[in-house]
Amino acid sequence: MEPNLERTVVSHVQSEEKVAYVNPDLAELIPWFLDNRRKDIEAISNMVAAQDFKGLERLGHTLKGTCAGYGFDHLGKIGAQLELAAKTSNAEEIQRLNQEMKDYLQEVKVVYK
Amino acid sequence: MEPAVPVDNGDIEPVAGKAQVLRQYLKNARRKPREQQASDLKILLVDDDVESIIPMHLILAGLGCEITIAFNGQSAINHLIKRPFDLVVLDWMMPDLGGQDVLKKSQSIISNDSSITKNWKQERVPFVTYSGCSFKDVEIPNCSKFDFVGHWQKPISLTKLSFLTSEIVSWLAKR
Repeated sequence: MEPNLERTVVSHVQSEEKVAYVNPDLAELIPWFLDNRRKDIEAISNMVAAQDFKGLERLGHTLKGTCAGYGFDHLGKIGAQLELAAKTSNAEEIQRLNQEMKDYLQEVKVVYK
Repeated sequence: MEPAVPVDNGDIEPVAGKAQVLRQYLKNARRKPREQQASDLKILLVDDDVESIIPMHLILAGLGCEITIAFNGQSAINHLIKRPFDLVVLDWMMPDLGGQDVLKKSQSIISNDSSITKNWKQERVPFVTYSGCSFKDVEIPNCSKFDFVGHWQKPISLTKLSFLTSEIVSWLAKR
């Protein structure tokens, strides 16, 4: 039986997204960094409720710029999408991204290397 | 004992909620011992986001650079008018005073205050813009005291940041 290549690739991509390769020198800061992201989830919910799209755009922009420096590239991509969604005041997409960020934080595996 | 990285503590105060972590990080941060240093460059790192500063600080300190941190545009100006640095890494988008304001206001103060001009003599300080904006959105002002040498667009992985930083530090050290 031939392997389902498409599924194999997708599964590989998904699992790679949930691994963060972090510089060991930053190890002590990672709990603080992840805690800040959990606070961001709450902040995003509050800003959506208040329809503060400028604030959401800023937060997305910050996430986009910051997360890759710590090895959390996928969070940075979510930040970039959040910034774009906030620019068009797309609350539904923002909520979807917030849920994606929540799931990611629960599942991410941190590898120090 | 290795020298601690010099940081102006006065700058850390406004960074509510994150100051303690940064202080702890900087307490442990050390420059490389002099004999292992690739450079002894004096660098001004300007960014309003503590989380963005730390990876950059980590790399520059690892290269032996002496780093001064400014968390806002006004603080950056205050440092710049005291003395020329070997390099300024300048966040372009900051609340209140952005990167462009920092350059223009510093230039104006340096040019018009004779006591400051004396410190600067013929110096031109190289600067790198560091921002989530693409280069086309960065309008570099024409300043005789500053030289634009590059644009680093976030997001940048630590590996790429390390490469870019090493490259520029090595170029500056050879000048």
